[in-house]
Amino acid sequence: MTDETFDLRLRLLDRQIVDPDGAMICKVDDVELTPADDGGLVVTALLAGPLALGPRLPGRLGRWTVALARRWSDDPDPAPRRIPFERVTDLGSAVVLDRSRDELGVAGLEDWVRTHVIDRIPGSRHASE
Amino acid sequence: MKRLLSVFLGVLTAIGGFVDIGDLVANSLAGARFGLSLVWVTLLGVVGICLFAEMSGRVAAVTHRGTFDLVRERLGPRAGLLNLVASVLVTVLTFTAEIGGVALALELATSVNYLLFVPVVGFAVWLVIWRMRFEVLENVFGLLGLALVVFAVALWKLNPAWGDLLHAIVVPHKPASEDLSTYLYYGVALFGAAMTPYEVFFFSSGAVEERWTAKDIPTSRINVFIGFPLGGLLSVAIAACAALVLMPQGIEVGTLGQVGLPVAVAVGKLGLAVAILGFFAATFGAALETGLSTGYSIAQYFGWQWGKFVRPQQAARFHVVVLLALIASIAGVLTTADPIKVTEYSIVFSAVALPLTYFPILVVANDPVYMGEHVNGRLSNVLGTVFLGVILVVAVAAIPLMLLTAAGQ
Amino acid sequence: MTRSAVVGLALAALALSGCVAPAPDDAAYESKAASTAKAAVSESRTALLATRTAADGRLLGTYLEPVLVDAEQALGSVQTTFDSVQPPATSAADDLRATLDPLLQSAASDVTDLRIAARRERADALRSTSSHLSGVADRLETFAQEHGG
Repeated sequence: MTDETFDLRLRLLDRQIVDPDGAMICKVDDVELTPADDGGLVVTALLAGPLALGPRLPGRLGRWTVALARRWSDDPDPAPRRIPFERVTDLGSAVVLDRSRDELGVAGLEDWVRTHVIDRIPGSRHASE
Repeated sequence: MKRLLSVFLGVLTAIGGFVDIGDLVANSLAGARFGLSLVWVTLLGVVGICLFAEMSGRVAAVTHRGTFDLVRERLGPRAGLLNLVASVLVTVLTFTAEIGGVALALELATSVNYLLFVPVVGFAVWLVIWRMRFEVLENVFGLLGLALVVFAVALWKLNPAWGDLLHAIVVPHKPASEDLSTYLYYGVALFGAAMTPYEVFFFSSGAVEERWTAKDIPTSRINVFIGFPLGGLLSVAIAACAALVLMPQGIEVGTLGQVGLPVAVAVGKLGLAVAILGFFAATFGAALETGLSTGYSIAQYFGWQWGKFVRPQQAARFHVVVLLALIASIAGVLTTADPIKVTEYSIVFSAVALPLTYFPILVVANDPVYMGEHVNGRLSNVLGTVFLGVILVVAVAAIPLMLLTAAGQ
Repeated sequence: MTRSAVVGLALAALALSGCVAPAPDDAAYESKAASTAKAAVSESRTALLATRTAADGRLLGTYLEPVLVDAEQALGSVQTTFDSVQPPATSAADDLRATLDPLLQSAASDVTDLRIAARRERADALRSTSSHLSGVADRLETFAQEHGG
């Protein structure tokens, strides 16, 4: 880590997160900050999903997003999807992680849509020709 | 040699893919009603789309990211969401117009009512998006779209006084019988038809689909700066044919059939058949582009895996979004709303949405953090800012003009 | 009365008044007649151009039919819209209507005849109906020009 100042909003928030192969995972919908010993704040995790993005959307839209996401979750007190900051290997044009998408287990909606809709259509496993 | 051939193919595809149902209707309508006095607007729009397509292609080649991905990053989730909603609404409206256009082209080829074709067309559009490789999709429909060159042939065969033609274009003279507000309204429509928002999303996402790098920037520039203006000339030919054949008869364009009549008059049955093929290719190709663009925009905003360069299984939400947009568009056409009217509304609303689309691209293309050495030069910035001003004026004037003229009555 | 009841009544009144367009003054009615005539000229001449081009062997048969059907439907709707406008209670307005309505009627029936003759491939019927429609279109055009179109 260098000592230069790093503008979180410009260089981290809303950035695309990819896996080592370049596959797209999600966006940095929000960032988890934890107080450090020296009084400052440290980025401890990246947060994703409607529970993370919702609070950043304006007014009623934001509240509804959060409410819907809570309704949808099986958890009685759901938290946004969390990617520990240790997973990040590179911060360039995109945020690169060290685990592949399948190993991370952050893809709730994608998995649901894949199983219930896409897999039922013939040809979904084949690359286009 | 192979490289030369591939560049040549790229230019041809850009020419053939330039015109869509909006350009067909707007240029023919304007030509029949205003002669050549609005061609300057089409030419202005062509310059604009060249400018911003070059920028968005360069951005995609350097960052390997799609437009909406960068829009949210650069403008934040709130402005990005506003942008997304407006763009998706306009693009789906355009999608509906394109599907209507394909069905109309098939009606002209078979005499069968266009509504009966809609489900088949919808299925075909989906199937091509699902299975056909991106480069093949672009090339096939781009090349088939070259059939619209028949309008240039028709213009040549009509043997106009070329000097007078040129004079009418360069020194525009609004017909005395038309109001200024109607003239300006159709100017707005023509501008919106030339600078459609989806074109930019598609172009930049396509650059990522085809794995462009900075090395591909020169090729992209050739495609844009040679292909698009030639495509724009086709739009002008369509307007000129209408001006020469329809205007003297007092015929105003309200159907796709009227758009093709000048070709039949000038070139005959064979020319007309080629024109129908051109209508089909242009609208089907544009349907593919608008459908994909809806998926690109939404997936890129939320960070989902998108694109045809992965198996559909890997981009499930992207494909579902495209499918939903298709269903909405099919439903839109099946309401039996006049597809030509839908087209007119789609191009006017495109004009309103233009600032939201082009401002972020100008911002990103100017940002050295993203672009490194490929950041905008002075010329791009000056032109880009001037055009942004024009776009803002057009966007603000569009709805008032529409209300004032009762949508061009 | 409660506010919502007043609003409801006002909306109902508005909706009912839209059933027949309000009687405009003479100038507005004349302008409406002129633009109606212009639209009718456009549809008639479209049908004529398509028929003539087909007779010259330059138009596909499958293309001719949708063009004629669209022109026929457009003419019908143009006439219906014009007839739905309540004319002002002046003799000038009545004269306008008396001149325009038969022309619209004639144009519509000619285009219908063209459509039928085209389907049956009756070249002689096409020719005679075309020359009749051409005269009607010219008279419509003169009407439009005289009344400010």
